[in-house]
Amino acid sequence: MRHTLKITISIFIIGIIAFLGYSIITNLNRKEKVAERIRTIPHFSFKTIKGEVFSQLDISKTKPKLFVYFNSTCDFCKAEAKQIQENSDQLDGVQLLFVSFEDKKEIKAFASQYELLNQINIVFLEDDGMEFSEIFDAKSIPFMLLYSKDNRLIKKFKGLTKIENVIMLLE
Amino acid sequence: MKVNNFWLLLVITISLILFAFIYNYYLDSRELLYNFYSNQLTKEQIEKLIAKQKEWAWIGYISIPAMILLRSNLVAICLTIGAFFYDMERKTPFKHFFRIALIGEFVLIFVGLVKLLYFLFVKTDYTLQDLQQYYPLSYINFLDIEKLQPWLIYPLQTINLFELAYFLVLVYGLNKLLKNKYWKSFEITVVSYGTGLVIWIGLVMFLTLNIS
Repeated sequence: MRHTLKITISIFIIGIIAFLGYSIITNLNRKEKVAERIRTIPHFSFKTIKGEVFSQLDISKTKPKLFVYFNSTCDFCKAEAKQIQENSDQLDGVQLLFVSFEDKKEIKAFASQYELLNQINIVFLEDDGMEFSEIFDAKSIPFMLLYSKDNRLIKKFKGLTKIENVIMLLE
Repeated sequence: MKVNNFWLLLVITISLILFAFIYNYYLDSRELLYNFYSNQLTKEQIEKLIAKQKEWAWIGYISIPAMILLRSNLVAICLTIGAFFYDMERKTPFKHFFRIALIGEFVLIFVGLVKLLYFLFVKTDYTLQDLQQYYPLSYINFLDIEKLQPWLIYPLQTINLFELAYFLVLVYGLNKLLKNKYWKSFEITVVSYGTGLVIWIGLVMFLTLNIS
């Protein structure tokens, strides 16, 4: 009886260690792949609020790009949008790509609320397949990625960020 | 006179609650929160955050005995399993293993004390991150935490002299309890507590990787 119990406990412990080890290694490999993938703007395909397809081929070729992954119900995303609105003159030279997995109606209402709708350098995108978080490994919102004119990743921003920190990197 | 487990638990709980209180009171966490979040949040948002933290502070205090109980029980379970594998646990009630783990908790009180004295008298210019990430006499203090991946911080913090002291307390306690050779107790502790620690560190790494 004792012998059987010892074997059972041993198998259980080895199982836990093997599971954790495997999960950690798999996760690290995945993170490495994501880091490699997003070093330059990767392939993506979302929809504009007019329903048109918008992919990496449609982004600006002359401006730095700032992806803003958001949700209209999140307070920190609202605070981020407010900061962007208040500093819009300093972000003139940047293409802002707001992405959300909500539907068009909610995205549009959010854009209107912060007077970001119909601005030349701002695009609101609907991620109906919830692909953004998978492609860019976004685990929280707001989540921003700043890319240079030639599409190289400058910095990732997790959580609410003072927009001055983004503007500083553009100079 | 032998102090029973309840009194030990009470002394440890009061000490750790006292430290938590002194931390919040003397290390001016309000100003630290301001400095830490000033890059991210507006003044009003920080005010709201501080008010919320104040409102829920009691949860932090009452979770202290729960954490001590959880940690001591897990360590006691590891030691019991270890003794079981070496056929040495017969007629030894669980509460005796639990007592060894509780005595080990005094090492953690020293960790709190050293950390408190360090920030009160040595490094008086500190940030919220310093408070959260500093671990006394740890290997991590030789590294630049800013450059470390978040999932590596906890395992590197765990390499410290207090961990070694905690381990030796467990060895000593087992040696007294099982009345065996010192090296046998050392071996049992390595196998039982060591395995538990590996699983715990693995779990923390796994969770950190999944949320960061």
